[in-house]
Amino acid sequence: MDLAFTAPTPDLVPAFDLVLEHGSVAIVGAIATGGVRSHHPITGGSFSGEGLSGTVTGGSETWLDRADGVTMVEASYYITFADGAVARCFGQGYRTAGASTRLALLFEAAEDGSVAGLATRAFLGERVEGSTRLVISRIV
Amino acid sequence: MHLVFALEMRLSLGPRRHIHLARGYTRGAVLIEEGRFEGPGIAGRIVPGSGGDFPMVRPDGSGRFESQYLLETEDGAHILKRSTGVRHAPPEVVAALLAGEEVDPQSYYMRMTPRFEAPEGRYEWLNRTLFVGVGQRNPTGSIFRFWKVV
Repeated sequence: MDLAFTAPTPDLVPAFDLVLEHGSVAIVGAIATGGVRSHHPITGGSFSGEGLSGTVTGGSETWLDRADGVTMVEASYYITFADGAVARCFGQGYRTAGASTRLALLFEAAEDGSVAGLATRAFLGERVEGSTRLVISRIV
Repeated sequence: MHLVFALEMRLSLGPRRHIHLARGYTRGAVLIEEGRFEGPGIAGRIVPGSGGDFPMVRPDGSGRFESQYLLETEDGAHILKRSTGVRHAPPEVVAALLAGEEVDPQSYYMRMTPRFEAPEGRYEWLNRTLFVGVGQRNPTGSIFRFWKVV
């Protein structure tokens, strides 16, 4: 068990900007698994970076405001590109009130489509509290 | 955002089992026999038999990871670790990995984003922190390193 670790050291590089328009929030209430559940629909927005640009055509964030003051966020955003290709950006992370939301994100895309490469890498997103802009970094 | 080293994990793995879900879609199941982890302010062992890695492996070399197991710190805390991740590699590299051969860890992309459920107290920061992990598969086990996102 004393093998050397020779795998790459990861880093973050700027990749995409995802600007999101939010609809009306629906609050489920306090639920049995701990916290207050709410639904935050995405009604539109834009996606750009690395030579790609697209329109956000739907999606949502599902929040759980936990007893420890941290909100767990599960996100799913649908992006339609100029050539008609569609990708889903999804993941989860944490929102700390007054600070920021940070998400670990992956993409799903048609394996034979123009944006298939999005699904081969992992990403992180960060949104400063009060902003509509999720800044996405590629994990390299 | 930037990455700060958080912990290293060394695991020995049991035999790989396969669930052939459909043509070209295979779910692997690899249970962790034993392991240890260590980083600044945290150290302990993997609870034997508490879980493992369950990758979705595609013939083209891509794959998605899902793992779940339990950590036990030296001071007796239990922490649930769950992780998703992505691997992308040339088909010949995947074939060598699946055959249990030694593979240059620089020859493929494999990144995980684990999340933890830790008890209140000295480890509660794990409950609100994102992590990035990198794995190195060896014939007898795996080494993972995890960085916290700060």
